[in-house]
Amino acid sequence: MILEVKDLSVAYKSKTKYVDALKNVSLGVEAGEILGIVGESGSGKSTLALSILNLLPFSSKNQGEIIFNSKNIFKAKEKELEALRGNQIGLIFQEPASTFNPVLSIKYQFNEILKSKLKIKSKKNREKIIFDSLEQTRVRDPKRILKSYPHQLSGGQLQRVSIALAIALKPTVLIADEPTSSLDVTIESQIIHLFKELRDKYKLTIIFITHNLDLVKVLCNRVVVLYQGQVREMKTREELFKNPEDSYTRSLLDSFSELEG
Amino acid sequence: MKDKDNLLEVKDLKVHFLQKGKATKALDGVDIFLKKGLVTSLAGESGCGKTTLAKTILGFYKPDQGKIIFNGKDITLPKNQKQARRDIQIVFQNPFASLDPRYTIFYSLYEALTVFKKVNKVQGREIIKRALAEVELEEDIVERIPQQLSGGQIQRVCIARSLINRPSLVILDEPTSSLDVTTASKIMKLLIKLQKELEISFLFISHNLKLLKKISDYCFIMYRGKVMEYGPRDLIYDNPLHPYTKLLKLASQQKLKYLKEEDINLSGCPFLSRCSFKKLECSQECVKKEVEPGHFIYCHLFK
Repeated sequence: MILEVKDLSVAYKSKTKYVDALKNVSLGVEAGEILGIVGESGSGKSTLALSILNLLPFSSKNQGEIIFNSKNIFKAKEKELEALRGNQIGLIFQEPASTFNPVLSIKYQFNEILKSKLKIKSKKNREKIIFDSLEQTRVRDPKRILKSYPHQLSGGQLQRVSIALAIALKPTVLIADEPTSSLDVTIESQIIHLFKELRDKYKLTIIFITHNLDLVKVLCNRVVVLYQGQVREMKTREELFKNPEDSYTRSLLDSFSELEG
Repeated sequence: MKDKDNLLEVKDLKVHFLQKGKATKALDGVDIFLKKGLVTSLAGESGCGKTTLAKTILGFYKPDQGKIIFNGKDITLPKNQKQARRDIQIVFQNPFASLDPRYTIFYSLYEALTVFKKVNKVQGREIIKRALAEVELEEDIVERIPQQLSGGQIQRVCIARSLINRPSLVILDEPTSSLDVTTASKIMKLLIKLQKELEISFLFISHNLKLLKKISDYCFIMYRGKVMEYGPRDLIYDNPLHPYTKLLKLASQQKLKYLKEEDINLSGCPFLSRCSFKKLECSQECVKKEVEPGHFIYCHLFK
């Protein structure tokens, strides 16, 4: 077990009261697997991703433990967290267009990350890492991409660049928060295969957050179904599609098959 | 293509956008037609001109060439536009950007109503009440502003707004792609129900072939401003013939592993640089061929 979430509850502060986002969530992630987290909007998928990196807002209340490499993330010092974020646990966001700073070139942002996270001083070494990781995500014409600014690239290109940026730091766990929901089908399918390749090549552990059961079907080893902040079901992919036990899972599968036949 | 039951015919439509002195050919000679009372779908990847076509039909863009014939009249001419604006309505992709954030739901719907009809507020309230009941929304929603509603609710309001004047054609531009599965499936059910009840024609735009298979009767596949293949739904989905349609089908099943990025080729088949079956004559313009009764394709691979 590489990452363990034990009895996690998170509540966000609204004007007058606390609103529960996660309630007693427990789950474990095995090394080298792709764990799918499924649920509708507002079910707490993204909150789970943020709490794994301890990126929750200060005003939120949290209980429970997240154990990574036998350390509790909630009790870690800021310096330890800095070493953890990116270097050991990478995060890919939903909206590629807002992942990057709009006024800095891709190359500058790549260099900045490598300097601060990996402390690589030589320009040549940095360049080598940049081109290596871009090649793995199969970006065409990386030289042009590096010179460009985020608005000059398409959604698919940007998402590839942000995946390249995440794997350049060689993390052991990668959290992908709906990485393809703003892309169209032809690009989505290619990105999904890229994730599969990364898992097989580097034994990368991936936590894949999505609401699209189609992607879960082709990609994930195990699936967690979240609903209103609670884990409703945790099963292997085959089991989930064959005999869903929970009533919510069943209705999710139903609405999915109604939609796509 | 000279059927009398064609509600809308688009003939050789070209829309070019000028960008730094260069023309981007968003639509490059599109021919489509819509039959009355049926759901026609339009599929293709981002940037292929689906939304441009929808907006040109609505009169947002002026075509550089070509005709749009609606109910026997060319609606690119200013004199025919007024009637067409009432009879053709649209539901946009992003629900959060489709309503004025400062208007209450009542006012958003009331405005759509009063543009074409003289109604006072009391009558308006009655009509809006019925319109909201049609899309299965509670009546007390009318006093709220869009910010206080969820994406699914706003999309229902947009559908109510598009139907309030009883148009004969509604264009649905990816109405469910920004919603999650459970909401999307409810909206799709609602749309199918309304279409049958009111006998309206739909032009349904999407990039998801599986979704289109569910709802449409007739289907057009577009790529880079041109129609590649069209025909009745079953022929297109179960027996796609154009290399691009095959690729799109693979992608919708998540089986597409890697796709070459395209080179810009100015003449001939637009799909040339990505096609793995290309032949010598592909650098020349394709002509339309009928491969099965009703199933047309623009490709050199078929004789």
